[in-house]
Amino acid sequence: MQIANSLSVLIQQQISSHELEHNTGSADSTYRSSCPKGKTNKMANRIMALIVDDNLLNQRIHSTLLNKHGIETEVMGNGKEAVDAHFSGKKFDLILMDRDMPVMNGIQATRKLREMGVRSIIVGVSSHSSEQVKEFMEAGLNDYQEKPLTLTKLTSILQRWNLSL
Amino acid sequence: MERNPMRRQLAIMRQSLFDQGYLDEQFIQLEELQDDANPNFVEEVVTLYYRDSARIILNLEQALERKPFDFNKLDGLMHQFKGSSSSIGAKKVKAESTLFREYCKSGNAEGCTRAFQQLKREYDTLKRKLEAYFQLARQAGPAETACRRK
Repeated sequence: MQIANSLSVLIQQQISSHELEHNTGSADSTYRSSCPKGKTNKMANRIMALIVDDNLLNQRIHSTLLNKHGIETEVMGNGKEAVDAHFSGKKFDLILMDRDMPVMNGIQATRKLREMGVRSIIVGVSSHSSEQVKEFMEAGLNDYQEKPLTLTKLTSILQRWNLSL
Repeated sequence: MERNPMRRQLAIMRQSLFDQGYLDEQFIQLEELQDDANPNFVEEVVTLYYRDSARIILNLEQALERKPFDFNKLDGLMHQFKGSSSSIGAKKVKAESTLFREYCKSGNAEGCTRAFQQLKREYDTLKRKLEAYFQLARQAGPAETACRRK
């Protein structure tokens, strides 16, 4: 119970810091906030998501989940691929980061992306205990959801982080 | 209409998978993702599951042949297997995975061996049932077609 409460506090802190950044018009979020829903600027409204997961099943399910929300997706099989992609200039609005992956796991990748200055919304997706979630959150996640992701969980993420079209 | 009895049979078969505890809510989540853009999504995902999990089962079998057991490795493999099984809503298989992991954590080799045998039985049973279900679904065809032909 105490750990669940600590996790809620951590998530609330992440939300508050994101809202602050959002209001000061950070580069990553400005184009989204300036395009009201229903307007025709499709390029500006397009949300790009990156799914980082070594499991093919989860890659397929999470892609389809996001596509159903009108979100374009790209898939990578481990944290290093995600980091390398950002080094080469790729940007995403949302990153779904699995925790356990070969080569570079989700904790290491999240930490690295934040060190690089990546300000995308990073949502950790895993099936670990609350203690291990805390370590993952502290690496720089904005949010965390337990696997498997569902339509409801994804909707709540998108609404919480203002990523709905 | 010929297809109606088949669709009724399909619905009964589907319901029994839930009533008998083979599948849980996550399977319904997959069904909700199936649409015109992804008309065979559930079957594709289940096929992917059986392909992916067959590999993990093989790795587990090989690891269980090495004595003494490397419980950390076994637990790690089962963690992956359980994750995949959860993703398709394989309720009984998931429960057996949990039991196996508990035996790993307590270093109970005999428990692990027993739990693995039971897990494989549940895994094979579900596979047979889902194969039969999808075969009937293909024969029954899409529900809307029968109405349009009127």
